[in-house]
Amino acid sequence: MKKNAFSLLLVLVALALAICFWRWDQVGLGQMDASARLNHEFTVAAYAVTWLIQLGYLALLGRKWRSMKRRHDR
Amino acid sequence: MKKLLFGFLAAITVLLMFWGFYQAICVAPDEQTMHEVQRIFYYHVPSAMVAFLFFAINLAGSVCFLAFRRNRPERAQLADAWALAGAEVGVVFCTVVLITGPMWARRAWGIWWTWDARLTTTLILWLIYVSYLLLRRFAAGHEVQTLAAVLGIFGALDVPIVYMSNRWWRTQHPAPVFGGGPDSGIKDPHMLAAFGWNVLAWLVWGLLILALRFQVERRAQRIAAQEAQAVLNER
Repeated sequence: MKKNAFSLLLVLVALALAICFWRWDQVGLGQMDASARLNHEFTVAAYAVTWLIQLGYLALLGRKWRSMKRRHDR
Repeated sequence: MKKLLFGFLAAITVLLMFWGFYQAICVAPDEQTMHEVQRIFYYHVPSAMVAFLFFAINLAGSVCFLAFRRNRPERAQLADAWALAGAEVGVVFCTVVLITGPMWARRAWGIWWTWDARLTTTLILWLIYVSYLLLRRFAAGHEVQTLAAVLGIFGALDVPIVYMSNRWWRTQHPAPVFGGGPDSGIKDPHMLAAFGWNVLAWLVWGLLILALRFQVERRAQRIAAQEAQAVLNER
């Protein structure tokens, strides 16, 4: 249960972020000219990549922690 | 109690991250010349600041490891765990800097990359710490920690060079936002607030994952010590 709480929290944060990014990506796209649209997409991409790297690293740390715990228990 | 405190800190961190995100996207106004793409600044600069802090932690850990490794081995192991955690989390933040920077540059300058002093020294910094991590991961033997500590100290020498590069040399990278002369600084209070919140949020996030990485390394050290003891006992 405890093991799953971390994964669940990570998935929930990732899901909340994905919704935020999706909503943000849709805002006002219709009224934007080509340059503003590109600016918008680059900004969304930069933020998404940042979160992807950080959450990916956190997930990796979680896996490492779990495998260490398993080795320790053995 | 420890776990409750950690959970509370994690919750505060997540709230801070969302608040920083909201400030950067919804509250801070568009910059006049770069427009929306300037908002990358709110993630790019705090990530660079936090990366520098973690490389400083690596430096402190490496120096302490070298100082204690003969007389106080337990303290040296503690310092080494901090050094490794600092380098690894620092590389994560530095990677963010090296990816978000070119994304901004593509829109602002029309190119992804240029070999100017700030960009090149940052890439060298990243490469030095990646080689530090590769050394820790793949080299074997009891001198690995010492070699890594020496590499960590040399790597840290690049941090002030990166920081000063756009003061010492003419660079395409924008002039320093803070401490770069009378015209530097963020004038708009909403932009300043968004920047400040994001610095705080990424700092707290970084410290949290640094603490996690440190705990993982301490556990790995304890397991290695137990296994070595078990081998000795078998003999």
